Amino acid sequence: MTGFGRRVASGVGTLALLAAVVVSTGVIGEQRLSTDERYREFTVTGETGTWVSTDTFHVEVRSTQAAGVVADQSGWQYQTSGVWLLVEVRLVARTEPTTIGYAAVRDDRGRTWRATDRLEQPLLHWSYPLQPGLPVAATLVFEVPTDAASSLTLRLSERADPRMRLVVQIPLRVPATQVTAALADPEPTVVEPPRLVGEDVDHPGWRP
Amino acid sequence: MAAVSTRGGWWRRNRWALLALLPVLAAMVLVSPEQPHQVWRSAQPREPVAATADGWVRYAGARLRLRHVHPADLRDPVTGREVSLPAGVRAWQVTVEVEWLVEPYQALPGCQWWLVDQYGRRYGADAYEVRGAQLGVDGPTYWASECLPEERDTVGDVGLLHAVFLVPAEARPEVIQVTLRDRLPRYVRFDVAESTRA
Repeated sequence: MTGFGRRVASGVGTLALLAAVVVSTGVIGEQRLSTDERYREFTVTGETGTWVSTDTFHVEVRSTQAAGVVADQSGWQYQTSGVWLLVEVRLVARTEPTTIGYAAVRDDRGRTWRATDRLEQPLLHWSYPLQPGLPVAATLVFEVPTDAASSLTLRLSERADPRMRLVVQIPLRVPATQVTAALADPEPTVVEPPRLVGEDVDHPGWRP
Repeated sequence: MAAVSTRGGWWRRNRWALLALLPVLAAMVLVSPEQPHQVWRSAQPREPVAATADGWVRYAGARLRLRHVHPADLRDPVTGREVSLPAGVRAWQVTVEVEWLVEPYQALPGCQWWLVDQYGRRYGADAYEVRGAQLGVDGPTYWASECLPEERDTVGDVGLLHAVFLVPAEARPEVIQVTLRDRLPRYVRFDVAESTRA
């Protein structure tokens, strides 16, 4: 190719590149992502009985129990027109104190329920920081409609607003038969407060 | 017409522009009105305040010196019995001398205490389980490590501040930090010597 030909080819190539930039910018601009989409969370998924880790804490769901009536430590009972779900978890911070600012369950239709504030749940306040290497056993309490109870996924994150944060997602195992049986049982299920379980060395953070 | 060299291609032809990009990007970070470097720098305790030869550290409106770090004697304030902790959990009490250089309630308001162990793990004071415990048989009731003075303290008085930490039994206190959010990245750092660790 002659020098003139190379210059023409170079000019055409440059124009093509500029056109590609303009077109791709337009395409990206047309995506019109919503704020929630642009700031969406990062998820890490696990299952009951195994430890799941985020950048700040480890968590294990031990079991999930349905109840028609729950009671707090003072004996005060709480009724519901739906069903109570009690999720027994163990949590431990990784290398810095941390808190659980967001605890929710989501059903297979995308509906989300935050942990109930009808009962005192100290773990979900800033007043109960998790410390590195010190696992805490706790029960998270949710109040959900009965038709949602068997298709729920637990969601936990460090911040109250989980956008752009790591969110743990763990499907919960609550058979419909257990929900039916729980609703027929008038005896309240007592919600235990969180407690340190220092003797438990079966967690990923127990040895640095 | 002289032949145009194509060796090196696009990279060779644009090398000066590419090199110029580096200082331009650096300048963009430095002069940005969002001050990303300052935001990053002040997000964590990064600059320990130097202590004098006798161990005193001047920080905010006070002078501080580490007195000792020892296993905490936590008591039930009603029964006087020892507070039992789960196996594998240990409580440490940190005591710091403080001299108030300004009005005591304005010296270190909202301070936070941290204990760093030999593995670099950082613990916060004021675990849920130790609040309301009595420090020793005749000691004060402990609520939080807030750097608050005694009620009658005035400028120039010297007092004691306490913090209690719960840590795994295998954790050894190596460093104590005191931070004030509006003073970051500067913070107080006490290296825990054997002489101060009982």
